[in-house]
Amino acid sequence: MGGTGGGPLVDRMGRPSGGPREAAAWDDRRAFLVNLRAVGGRAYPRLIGQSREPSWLLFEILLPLLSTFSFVFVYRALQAPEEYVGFVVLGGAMTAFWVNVVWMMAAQLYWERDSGNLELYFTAPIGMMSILLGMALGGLVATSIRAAVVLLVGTALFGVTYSVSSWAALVAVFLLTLVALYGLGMLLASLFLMWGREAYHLAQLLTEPVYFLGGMYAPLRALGPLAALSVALIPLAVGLDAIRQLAFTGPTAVGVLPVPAEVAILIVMCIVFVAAARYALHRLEWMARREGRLTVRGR
Amino acid sequence: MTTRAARAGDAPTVGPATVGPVRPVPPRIPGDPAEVPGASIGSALRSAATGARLGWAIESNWSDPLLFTIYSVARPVAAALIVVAMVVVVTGAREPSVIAYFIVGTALWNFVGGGIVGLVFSVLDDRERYRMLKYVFLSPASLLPVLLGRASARILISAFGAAITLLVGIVLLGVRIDPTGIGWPLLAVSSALGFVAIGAIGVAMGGLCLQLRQEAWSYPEAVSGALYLVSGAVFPIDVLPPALQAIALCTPLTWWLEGSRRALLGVATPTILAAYSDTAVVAALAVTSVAWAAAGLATYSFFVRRARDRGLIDQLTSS
Repeated sequence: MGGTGGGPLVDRMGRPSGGPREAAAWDDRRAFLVNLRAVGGRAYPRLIGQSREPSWLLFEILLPLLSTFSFVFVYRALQAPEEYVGFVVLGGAMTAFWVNVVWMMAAQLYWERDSGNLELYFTAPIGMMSILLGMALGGLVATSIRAAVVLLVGTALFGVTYSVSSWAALVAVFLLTLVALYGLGMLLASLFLMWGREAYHLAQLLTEPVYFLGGMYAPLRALGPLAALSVALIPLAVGLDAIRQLAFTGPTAVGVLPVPAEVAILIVMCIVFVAAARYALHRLEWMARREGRLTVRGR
Repeated sequence: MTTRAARAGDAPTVGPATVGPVRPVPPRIPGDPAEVPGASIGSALRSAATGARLGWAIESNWSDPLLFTIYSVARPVAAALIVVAMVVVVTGAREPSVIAYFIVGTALWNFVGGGIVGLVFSVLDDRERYRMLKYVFLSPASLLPVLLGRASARILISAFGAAITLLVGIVLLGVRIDPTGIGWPLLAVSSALGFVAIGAIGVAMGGLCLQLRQEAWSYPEAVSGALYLVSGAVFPIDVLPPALQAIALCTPLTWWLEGSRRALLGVATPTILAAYSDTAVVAALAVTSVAWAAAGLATYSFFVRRARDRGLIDQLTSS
């Protein structure tokens, strides 16, 4: 890494330092404020970019809405019970968050390297998690709009009726799912960068296969033994299964595990993914400085 | 033409010291084969072949072989299994004739995704990532053959995905496709015309993406997903609302899928499409494909001109 590999970093007293943050020697308050500004700064171009180019309204909201509706019509063609239509609508809404995590977060550091920003991130005295959080928040606006539109239009157009047993539990499960998802996204961002050129292929691998294993358009229990694997590994799968159990009643809404068990799994996933992401990002920074290879373009 | 070139800052200059009658020098638009001496179909084919070799190198040689194979297999198979899971959970059975309808639809849809994604990603990759697009515009090669060549690598991968999906359907799900019973002429004609239509959509999207930010990575998927609905890829168009049925009948992909399904499975899709003979299906496919191809090329030309005029060829839009 050209920028940081030239010589040892020193703090303000001229002593050797482990990295830009240590060299800056800021107190906790200042470090927090700087990281907060980094979050805002990284979210800013995404928000502004969207406002300057409204084509995303068509391509990221309207067209994916039609794509989701395809699966509604599959159920209509099969004359399936109406609950399945509701499953598709919920799955389509949650898909938006997964797409955001994979394309706008996991693969993003790899593309940031190609565009030359990555070495700036490593040399700045801010945490990589702040950068990734900024990306997430910047993309979350469009993603949330997309999810809301799929949910509202799908519900209105196909007459989906929900019977929510506990709104508080539903909101809690949804938020836990988001934290686990974005934690996984941060972890994947560092892994994608370490694995080299394969970001696009890896991102592709995490779309349809995850839609299938995550039960996006069919109840998770339809996967049989594979469902256990999904619940153990994919936060979207376990979150969506719990959300469906809380939003619908009847025999079709029976999940793989009871809701409390799935909530417990989600909590574990949140802790594990966020901690693993933190470790992986620290490791990434260390490798970038020590080996100087991570910011070499074209790897 | 002169105005366009002048706007692009490429107009020839004639100094005040020029003596004698000034012979107007035709302005050259970089990349426009009509303006390049010696440009021909042969040079376009060479550009396409070079683009194809480059595309294949990017897609395969630069990738980890294991990951490349997993990616090429897992994605199309998973796409088919999503629909199969939906069928099984509703019907509770694996009726091969029903499964066959869905398997063929999802297998063939790989070409749509591959064709559109291939053309769009060629534009975005070369502009944002490898930053070579401006050099293609500056070279005597025309952009369109290069893009088509680059996209052919992804179409090849799509063909692999389609074959694997059909194989999974036959081996694991009991789908019956008898090679001796396949209507090869119908399949060949349907495929040829269908690929023209897919190319036209991809070319139009490639032109459009010259105007857009890097986030346009996801746009081909969105377009492909929307066409999935209006083409009746995995359900008969009878279940669509009347307005969407009309759109479906104007979409070449509907007729391509129908022709291919008839050739592979020997049966027509129920009700609306069943009313058309094989000849009528091919005729409808031909008419809609030609119309979409003309519209696609016109759209591409418009957007390339606009990108030149506005200096978008070498923009970097990382956000």
